[in-house]
Amino acid sequence: MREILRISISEEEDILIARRLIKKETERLGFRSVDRTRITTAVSELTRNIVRHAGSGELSASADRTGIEIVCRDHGPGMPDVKQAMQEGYSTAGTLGMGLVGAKRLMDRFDIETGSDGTKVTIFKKLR
Amino acid sequence: MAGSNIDYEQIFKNIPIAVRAVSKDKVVVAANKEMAALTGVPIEKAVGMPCYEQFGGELCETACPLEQGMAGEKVVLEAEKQRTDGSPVLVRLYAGPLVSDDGEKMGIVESYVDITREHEDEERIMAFQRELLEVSTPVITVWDGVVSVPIMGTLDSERTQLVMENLLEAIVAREAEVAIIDISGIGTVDSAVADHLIRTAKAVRLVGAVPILTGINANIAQTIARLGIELEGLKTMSTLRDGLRYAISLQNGEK
Amino acid sequence: MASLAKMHFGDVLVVPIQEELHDTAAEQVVEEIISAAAKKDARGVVIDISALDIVDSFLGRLLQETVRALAAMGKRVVLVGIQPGVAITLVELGLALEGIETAFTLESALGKL
Repeated sequence: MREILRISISEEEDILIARRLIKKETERLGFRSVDRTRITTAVSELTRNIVRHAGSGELSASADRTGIEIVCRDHGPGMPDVKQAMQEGYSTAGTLGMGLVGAKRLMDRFDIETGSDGTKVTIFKKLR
Repeated sequence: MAGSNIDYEQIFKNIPIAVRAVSKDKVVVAANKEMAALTGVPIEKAVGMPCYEQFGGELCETACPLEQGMAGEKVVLEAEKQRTDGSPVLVRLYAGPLVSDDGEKMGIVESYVDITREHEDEERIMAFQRELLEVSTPVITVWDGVVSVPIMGTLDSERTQLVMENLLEAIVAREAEVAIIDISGIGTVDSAVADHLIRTAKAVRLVGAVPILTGINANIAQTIARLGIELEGLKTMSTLRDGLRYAISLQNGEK
Repeated sequence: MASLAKMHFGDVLVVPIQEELHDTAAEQVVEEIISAAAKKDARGVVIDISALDIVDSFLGRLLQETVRALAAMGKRVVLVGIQPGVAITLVELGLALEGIETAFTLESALGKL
């Protein structure tokens, strides 16, 4: 996997910047239009979580001929009960859970590691 | 060959897979015939050369297997490498530690398999599958402003995505007001399939068209009732003809 | 947000969202739409999002809330221009915006009102 992008996320505007850059990269990599939309939307969800819940963090993306892997890292407070947050994501007004569930539904692989020193979300989409 | 004098050097030289040994200072210490053929660098010249010069590429900067390989991990990577004449070659690389008899880590052993053909075949198969899927779910304009898509066989998640994409694009391109999804050719209907159909219908509504599900025969109707599947307000009919009649009445009603 | 383009077709307010908005700007736009609809006493509102190729859960929910608020004011709302890719992602996100009228062209949207 070759690293293709690395940006820091701390303000609202960075969500849009991340979207634009990911959109451009996925187009360059040859993803189908709908998958580009899915990937960019998932990135929007995860970067928003960084801005709203952790304050700041980083997005990095790598790709190879099998697909694209995007990692969103932050050094925020972590999520004590991720499973619950993701289950409730849609019924309660928690944008945190909703963002994670949304990203999970749009991508082919979703993984989350969280602790008191921060959170790391890894998502992957196959190149079709 | 059985017995004592097995010449490991001869075996190494002749293994029909490109192999080389790289020291921890990134210098090639051994290479076999296949490696020479793959890279374009003759064995005598290769030994003593920096590994990234004998066979380099972007991988050397982003994911050099030396460290991992020496740490004892078996590394398997796929990457595009460059021959000395500049031409690219798609390879699968296997790397593992090169350890002396006293256990000293000296570097790594790498072996390479040229997967250009494999990759091309994979791509051709994927393209063929895609074409097959598309041909089997064409979107037909059955009336002014009414499109229809027949679903044959199975409807899994992958197929649903394709159907949704094709159908929505067609609705938008042809400015259709009604989309008839006909399932008379579908194999079985269970809650998973119903889920896919409902999702498709929701997407159709979002782009501003009315979705109609047709082809619900007695069997499917019973299954739906038995499984308690909620079709959530989706208009359903038993035949395409009924669906079309309904579609036209909708249009007339609006005009 | 300096000026939000607003057009009037009789007593219908048409608001095109012409560019990607970050969260705070989106909320401001929504406030402007609601107050404009109230001020002009519009019968209906058409929100045109054909220029957006990404609608995530935040914007999706914001649109839902906007439609609800306008409906509470007795105004009909039609969302125009949801692109296929956007439709698919909204459905996959579980935000199918049910109960909200949609149209693909401005013409048909106005026709619905």
